[in-house]
Amino acid sequence: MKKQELENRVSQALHEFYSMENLQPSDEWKDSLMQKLSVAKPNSIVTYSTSKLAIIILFIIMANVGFVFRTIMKDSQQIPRRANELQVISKELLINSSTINN
Amino acid sequence: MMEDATWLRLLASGDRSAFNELVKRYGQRVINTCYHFLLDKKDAEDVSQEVFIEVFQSIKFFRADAKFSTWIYRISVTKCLDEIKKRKRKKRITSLGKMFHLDEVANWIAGGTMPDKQLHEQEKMKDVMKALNTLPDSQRIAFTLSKIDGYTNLEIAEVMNTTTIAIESLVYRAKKKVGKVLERIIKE
Repeated sequence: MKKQELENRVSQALHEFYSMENLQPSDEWKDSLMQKLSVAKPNSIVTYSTSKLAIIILFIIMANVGFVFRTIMKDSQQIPRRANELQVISKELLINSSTINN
Repeated sequence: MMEDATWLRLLASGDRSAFNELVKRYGQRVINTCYHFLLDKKDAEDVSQEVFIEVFQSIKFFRADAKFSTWIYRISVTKCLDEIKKRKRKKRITSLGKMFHLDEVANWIAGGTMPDKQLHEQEKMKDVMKALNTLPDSQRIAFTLSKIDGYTNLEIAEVMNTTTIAIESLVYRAKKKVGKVLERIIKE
């Protein structure tokens, strides 16, 4: 292809782009937009995220409180049991002098 | 015509007449912006509707110190670029489908069939679209907006959050690149 012909085709393609017709919003377009709009809901990112965040924080606090209570309850049950176990062990391990002599 | 502050307040409260005013004021410019980016009437109409819905949904977050027109044109450009990215993704899926002889499935994934008229329209601008697709976003935005009636360099600079000198440079480089790519495409 000759250079001149190539340049012509390039400028023709560009001209088509530059001289694109202007679109007008038609009545159909407006009606369809109004229909879509009636379904669309306004964004409420702030209120949505705030309420969601509040629920999440509340849930975390509740979970924490629950965990702390459970741990306290468990510990209070375990302390006397541990004490008993230690007593048993100490009794078993302690060999008094009378036993050795015999 | 309503005063801007009152109109924006009404728009934010969801007033329908204020929305009609919005469409009246910006409808044509938004559709044309989308048309020049997408080079397809049907897509331009769909995306411009999405722009207005986005404006309606996000008007509460619009800062009064910014220019409303700049804001709405920025939304338009972003939506168009998103649509172009979506198209590229669809194209990749379609070609992948064709490779495995899954034309029907690929076509279904890509969004169904295209009317002949639309195909013809896209065919006509195919080379320009290909050339524009090679541009970086900034060059593409500056170049495309500069070819739409009514956009001044200052306005484009505001939309792109840059200077008019930068816009001139972007348009110049884009035009040069588009020319070169078009030459290559036509040669092939």
